[in-house]
Amino acid sequence: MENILRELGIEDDDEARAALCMIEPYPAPAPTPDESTAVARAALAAAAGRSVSSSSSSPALTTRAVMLIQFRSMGARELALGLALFAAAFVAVAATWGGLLAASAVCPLYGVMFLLYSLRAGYYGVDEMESACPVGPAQLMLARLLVAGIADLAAGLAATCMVALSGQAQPGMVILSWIAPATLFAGVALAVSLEFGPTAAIGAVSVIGALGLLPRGLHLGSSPLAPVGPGGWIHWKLIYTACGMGLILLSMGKLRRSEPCGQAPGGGDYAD
Amino acid sequence: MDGQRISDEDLARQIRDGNEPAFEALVHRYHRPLLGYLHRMCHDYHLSEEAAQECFTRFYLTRARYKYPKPLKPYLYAIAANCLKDYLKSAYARRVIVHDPAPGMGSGRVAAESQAPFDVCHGAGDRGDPQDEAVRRLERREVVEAIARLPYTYREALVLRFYQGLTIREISQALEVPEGTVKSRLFTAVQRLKESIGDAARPCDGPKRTRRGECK
Repeated sequence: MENILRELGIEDDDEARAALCMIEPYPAPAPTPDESTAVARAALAAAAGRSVSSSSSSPALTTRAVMLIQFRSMGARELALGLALFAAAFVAVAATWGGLLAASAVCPLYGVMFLLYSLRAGYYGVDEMESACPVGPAQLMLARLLVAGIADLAAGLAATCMVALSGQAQPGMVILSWIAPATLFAGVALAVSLEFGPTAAIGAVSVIGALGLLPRGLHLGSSPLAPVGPGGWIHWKLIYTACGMGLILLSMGKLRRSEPCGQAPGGGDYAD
Repeated sequence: MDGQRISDEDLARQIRDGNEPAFEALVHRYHRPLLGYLHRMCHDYHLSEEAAQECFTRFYLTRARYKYPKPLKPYLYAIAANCLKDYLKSAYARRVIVHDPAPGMGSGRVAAESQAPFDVCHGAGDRGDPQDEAVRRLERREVVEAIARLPYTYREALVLRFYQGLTIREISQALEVPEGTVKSRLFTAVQRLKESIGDAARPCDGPKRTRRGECK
């Protein structure tokens, strides 16, 4: 106890000494030698069982497999509902304010909602599976990002085709209109989510989205959700894209630096 | 005979080479300390038993990853810490554990020596009085609850340093955090304990006391 107090530089703190003194006799189980032998044998038996099962029956869970799990566990109903809502919102906004604005305002929000939804594995019951799989959290997050990116890309390209076919704007302008806010929102969502959790990320993106959706904001070129106008504003879109990409890259670097669970002591697969 | 005792690291090397009796010897050496650590962290006898066995299983399964002569003690505690986190994340733990902050007191067996009343600071001569015994039990429960109320990371550092006797460096290796972080967690844990236990803590007369409560 004195050593601890000295290490902490509080050797003169009588209250700290008294508190440590008070907690000293904390009961703990005391296994007998026979029980330790039983545990050793049980551990060996369990190890033998797992070695056999990992080497013979179950293939290694790859990032690709995990990505498929993300798709399959979300359920077709949720995906269909999401797509229907997106289509309805897109058509409503396009009919009122034009297709370009619909593409720039609705597509990124759809993608970001998808991303935030996928960041919370507990929503669709994958968290138990994830905690049991040998793939590290970084790989899982990257797999989810890929899923969210694909969903956003698909929605954005569909919207681009619709707007371009109706002749309202050039495809390049439409793509820039939605890809800039989508990248920015995804970057903010990912960075905030890694630092403060998905709930904070939902809040951050909602605030940016709400500010961008304000009527005045939409008519300013600096709003992330404003469509690319004929008089310029392209530079704002490029800035947002660069910021978003920067945040995504920083977050991915952080994810990659985090230790995969396979390398943690006692973690990972047991094939060896 | 202690001088001839094979070191933990040599034992681990033998286990890595497939020596099962060496594994059994290691379990005999570390079962009690790891069980103590796990029990003090989760306060559930059955869960700590399961986690301890899982810890040894994982060590055996990943024995090839052990790099001799890396210190084994922090390595084993790191596995135990990871096992416990996995168990606490499990559905069982979420359903069963820690509605009561100190439920483990009534479940399972505790060491006979730990059943020694709370006489460290209060003198050990009055064990026979049932009323005193009841008071001591109440105080012990209060202490266990005070420790259980500490945030996980602070409790982890305190339990490893204070009860398991790991050095700051060993804790830093086991938890994979810098030594400064371990010290800061320990400091905060002690400060919170002071606040939590408060008046119940009576200063010891002298700096050195045995686990049985006699002052040296």
